[in-house]
Amino acid sequence: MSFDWLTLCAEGQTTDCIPPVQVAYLIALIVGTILFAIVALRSRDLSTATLALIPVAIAINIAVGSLVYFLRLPIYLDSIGTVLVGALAGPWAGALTGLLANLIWSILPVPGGAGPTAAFFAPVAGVIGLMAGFWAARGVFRLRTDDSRVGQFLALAAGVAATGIALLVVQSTIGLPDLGAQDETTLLDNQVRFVLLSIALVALGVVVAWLTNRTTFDFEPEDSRIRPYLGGATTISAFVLVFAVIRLLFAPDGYFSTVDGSDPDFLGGADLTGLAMSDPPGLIVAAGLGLLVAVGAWVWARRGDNARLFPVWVGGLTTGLVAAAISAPIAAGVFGGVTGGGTDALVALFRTLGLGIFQSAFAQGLTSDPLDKTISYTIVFAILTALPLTVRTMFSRGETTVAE
Amino acid sequence: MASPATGYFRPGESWLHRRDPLTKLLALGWVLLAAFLLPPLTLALLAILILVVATTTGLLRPMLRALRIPAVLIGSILVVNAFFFPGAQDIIVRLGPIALSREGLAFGVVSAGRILVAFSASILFLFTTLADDVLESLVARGASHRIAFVILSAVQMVPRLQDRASAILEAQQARGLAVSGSFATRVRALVPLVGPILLGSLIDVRERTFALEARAFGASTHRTAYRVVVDPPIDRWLRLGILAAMVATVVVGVTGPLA
Repeated sequence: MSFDWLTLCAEGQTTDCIPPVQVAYLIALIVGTILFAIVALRSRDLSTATLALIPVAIAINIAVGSLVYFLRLPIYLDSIGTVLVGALAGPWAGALTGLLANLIWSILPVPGGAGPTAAFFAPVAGVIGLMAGFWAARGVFRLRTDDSRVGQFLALAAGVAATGIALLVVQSTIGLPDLGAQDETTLLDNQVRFVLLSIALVALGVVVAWLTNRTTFDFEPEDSRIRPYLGGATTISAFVLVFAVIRLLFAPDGYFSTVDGSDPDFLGGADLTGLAMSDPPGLIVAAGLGLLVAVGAWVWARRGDNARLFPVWVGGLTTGLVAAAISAPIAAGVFGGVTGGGTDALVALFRTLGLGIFQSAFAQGLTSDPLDKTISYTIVFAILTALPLTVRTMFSRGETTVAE
Repeated sequence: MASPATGYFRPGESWLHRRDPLTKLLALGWVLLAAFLLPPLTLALLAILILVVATTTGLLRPMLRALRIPAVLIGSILVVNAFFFPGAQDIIVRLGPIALSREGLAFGVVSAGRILVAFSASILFLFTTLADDVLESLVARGASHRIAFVILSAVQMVPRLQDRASAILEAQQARGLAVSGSFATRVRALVPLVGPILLGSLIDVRERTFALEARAFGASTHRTAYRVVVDPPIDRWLRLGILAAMVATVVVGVTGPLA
């Protein structure tokens, strides 16, 4: 018996191999089934209050998600309810909400709904619920700006930033290994180098996070540095976010340079290539706007308890990164990266930049998911603040949403 | 269009309507597995099978009409893959930076075909099966009634949320909220509309918890069913056959002698 067929296909190869499509589909199916089995077992421990909350959260997911899908925005906003349940009733209840929301969404005749595509992303939604419960238990929704535990989140943000900067440096100096290589030995070589590089980058982030947690961000209780540090972190993030979004949309090879009216379904086939700015002025505009928003963020973060949103954003950002890593193989494998929503334009953009099917789906996820989950976490924070205390404390983890 | 509470269900007496919900669920699972695991040529066979089932149950016309739901998705899959296929060699037409490639077109047609088969099989299942029956027969076989409650009340929650939304819209308009006009006005109207909908339905959870507890929802004693779903004797053999077909499909799909 020969096991030669038991290798992944390279791009273009068709015989004696397993196409990545089928592997992605099988893995998603297995992950989904296992997750569902664990969750079904755990659900015996869920209180009646939690079971009454989950349907409402599912309805919120579907309602807001359908609206955003219909508007063809390049984000999803279909996990607000999942994060809410994860925060109020723990990770397993959150996972159950996410799984069921996506499965139910795919069978309900909701106008503007995503239809059967949502079911394929159920495992991702489940993991989002798990992560929301994890972060809520670590206090993202309850820490005030004078709490010394905020340091852990600043350290984590520093680690993520270090990985991002290192990735940019590697990309602009030695370049990322080409995963679309035709020659099989080169391809294998490049895949190994790519995996090693990713491990090295993640390891760098972990080391930076660990070191800064021990040194710079090791606060005493009632430390006077906490508030200025949070303000600074908010300012830097605001600048990076605005700069990155403007570059993504208006750079010479950015989003609008691909909206040339070739898809009649999208914006009625409007030609928006004129919005792509040429380089020195475009760069200056992006930096200028970024600085302007950063100053605004500084003033805002210094006022009252506003900067306590920073741990919330770190939670959303990391959830988004994990979600992107899980959803990319599904999006690439099942739909070739194209799901019919507003994110398709991003996929097309990354493909014109020369990325492969899987890489475009992953790049789209890395762009959409962290932004999407950060917005979702912020909305959940606002909902939790507005909910009466007696309602929040009905649920098993409700106390993790009460400010200390 | 059917009301959102019963979903796509169309009452009827066809042979597919009379099957046990679990038999149909398994058959749907097999079609999905086959569509994504087996080589593209089997898609044609599956499509013929689905057409035959739809014709014999008299649901051909509603099924074809329902295909407009995934039309946008299928359109995008075709357009994006045909014009933006990475590493395409065999170019048919070139228009500046975008090119219509044969590989992209083939990949797009296969992907679209898979979605089409998966969707029409799902829609036939939904046309002939009531969600309540699926859950009832699952609970009768020992599934958790707690999960069944969550799924059913989530399905019914969406129309209830819509009712609440229109009530709040009218209430806020009666208080003088401007909801039409420029884009900025409409965005500003979002908070006084969405806020009460979200918070109101979350606060309702408290009342519903008390109502459920008052009716012994959390009790662990044995329950009897109010609705009994019939399970025709032939269905047991059908289910065994479908399970065998599923195993065969996975083995063939993964080892790939047909590829």
